[in-house]
Amino acid sequence: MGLTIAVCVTGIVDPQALVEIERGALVVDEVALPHVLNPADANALEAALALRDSRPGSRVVAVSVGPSFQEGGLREAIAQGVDDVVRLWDDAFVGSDCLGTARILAAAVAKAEAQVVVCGELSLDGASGLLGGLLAELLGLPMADTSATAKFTSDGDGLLTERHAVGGYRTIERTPLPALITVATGANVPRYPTLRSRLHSRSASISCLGIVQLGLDSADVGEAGAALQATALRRPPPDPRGLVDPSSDLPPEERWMMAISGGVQEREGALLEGSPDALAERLVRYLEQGLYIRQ
Amino acid sequence: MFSFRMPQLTHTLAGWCAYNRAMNAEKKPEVWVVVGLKDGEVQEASLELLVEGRGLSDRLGARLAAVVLGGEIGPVVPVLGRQGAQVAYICDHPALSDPHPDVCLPVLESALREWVPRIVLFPSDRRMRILAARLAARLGAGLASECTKLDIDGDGYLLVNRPVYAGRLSARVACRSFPQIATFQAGYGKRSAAPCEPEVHRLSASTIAACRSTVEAEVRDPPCEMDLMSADVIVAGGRGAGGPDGFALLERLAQRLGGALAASRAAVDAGWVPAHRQVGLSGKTVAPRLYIACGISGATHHVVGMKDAKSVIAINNDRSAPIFKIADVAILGDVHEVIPQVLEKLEDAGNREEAMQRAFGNAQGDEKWG
Repeated sequence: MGLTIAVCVTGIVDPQALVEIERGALVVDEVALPHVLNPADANALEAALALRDSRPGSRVVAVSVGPSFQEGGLREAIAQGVDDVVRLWDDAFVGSDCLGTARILAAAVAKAEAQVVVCGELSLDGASGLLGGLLAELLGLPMADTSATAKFTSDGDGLLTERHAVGGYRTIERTPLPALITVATGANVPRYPTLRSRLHSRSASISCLGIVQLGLDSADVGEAGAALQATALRRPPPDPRGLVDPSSDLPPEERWMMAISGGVQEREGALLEGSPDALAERLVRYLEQGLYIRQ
Repeated sequence: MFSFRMPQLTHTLAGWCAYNRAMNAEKKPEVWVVVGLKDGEVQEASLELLVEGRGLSDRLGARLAAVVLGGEIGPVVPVLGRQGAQVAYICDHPALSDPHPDVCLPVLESALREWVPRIVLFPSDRRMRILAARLAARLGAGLASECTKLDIDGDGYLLVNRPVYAGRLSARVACRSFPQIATFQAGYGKRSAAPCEPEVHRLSASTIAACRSTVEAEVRDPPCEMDLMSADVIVAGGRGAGGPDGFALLERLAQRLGGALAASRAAVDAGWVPAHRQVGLSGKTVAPRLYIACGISGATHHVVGMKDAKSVIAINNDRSAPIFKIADVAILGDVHEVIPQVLEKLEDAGNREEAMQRAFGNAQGDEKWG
């Protein structure tokens, strides 16, 4: 049985681009800035396509909130091979905060009748990392976050996701469908579009849904529905950075290496000598004291 | 005390009305900090957030309340008081020992509807962010995430600084809703607030919900696949490891310590280890809890990649190897002679412990040797 998989993507201002702000401005004029697909969304897209490919008859719909100059993300999604794309924009959406954006996406996902929703873990520009949680709650779905891999369970009515944790641990979680998953940045390698699909994506028409088609209330979205209001925008002060101060007794190449290395701290471990057996004994005792040995 | 202007937003009117009703019923205004626990103790980030929250509540003439949901909370209440919490809302329930947002959210929501705080603050970790997001979506409240600075504006609302455009700009954002929710990025500034004796309220556990997703398995990667950046323990080999046989030994050691296997450039160039496991200037930069350098001389190119390790053990048969200068334990010996002995002794230690546990039973064994 085929499913509909919705994947939420966003175009962000190129992280390499210089973002200029005018004095006293509260928003950045993004029209002239280059946009790229948000890195986590590229991984979300790949995860969604892999889910589709494992289940015959399924389709992937990419949805994105943004004006037409941000539709590069959707074109990328077409090139990657999604079945349908929808752009969500209306003059009433201008100034939405993260909850407003989530409301718009929730309406679109509900309209598409998707059983699986896939999002990137966070967008690099807003970097709020909240969308997954907000969307899951608005849609009333269970959620598996920061997944590295996702696949359908063998009985087909759930998702198995794997999350990587510190220390090489992996947690495998089972979430019943319908469900929402967020995909960790860099979790997979997005597929490489063919030239044909790339060209097709350039000329494909992208439909746009507005506030009326989505059945939203203008008091819930855009500036009217935004509880967050920017009051100032500025460049952050640079991070304090420790300076390396190499001793002048050292030869110049050593000093250079220290400057490059950021200053390497010497430690005061005494040199241990003896038979391999005695040395091993000392080492094991050190490991035991540091509680490095676990069962 | 601030005079509160009514928020402009229609969808937060309900929140504002609820807040005013609570104030008319002689409830005291409160700032809440949802406290995260780690291994039964208060997380560092939450400690800092409590102090931050006390600053806000003092400015508002409100009380600071710490909210703790967990499996065993009793011992942390005095800690909350030391950080300035005047009230502690606690919910002690075995189901909360693994605080999944599905489980915690109903408890938090019903508490929130009963006590009506003005501001709710969360530390910014993976689970707390989801909990904050789900709560905000349920209440239709404003939520500012990843805040680096918290303040109160002239109208008595929460005012935060948060990074935007991948940190290239910092936005100052006013949060105008009831309640105002924010997640805070702790900078681990060790500050303290005026200590007090918190007034403890127990939250009802009757609203605890079942977790909709289940953990199927928890597995650990083998040393050759484990992510170097997140590994706790790294066993690294260099030219002195002598070849694939030497690395097989190191891999066994890494496996035993639950760590990852890494290498210096010399070993990668020799083709003994794949390139993605290289540590150093042209490889990865790591900072594990323990770094064991086996047969690595310690050229600067390697050392820059591991100098931030918490402790370093170096095994080398060259007395003048520079790696010894940065080692906490410096062992002059051959890798091929020392490591097999270490493995043997670790095996013995493992067997001993196992025998001990069999003899005394688990609980007693833990108490005595844990």
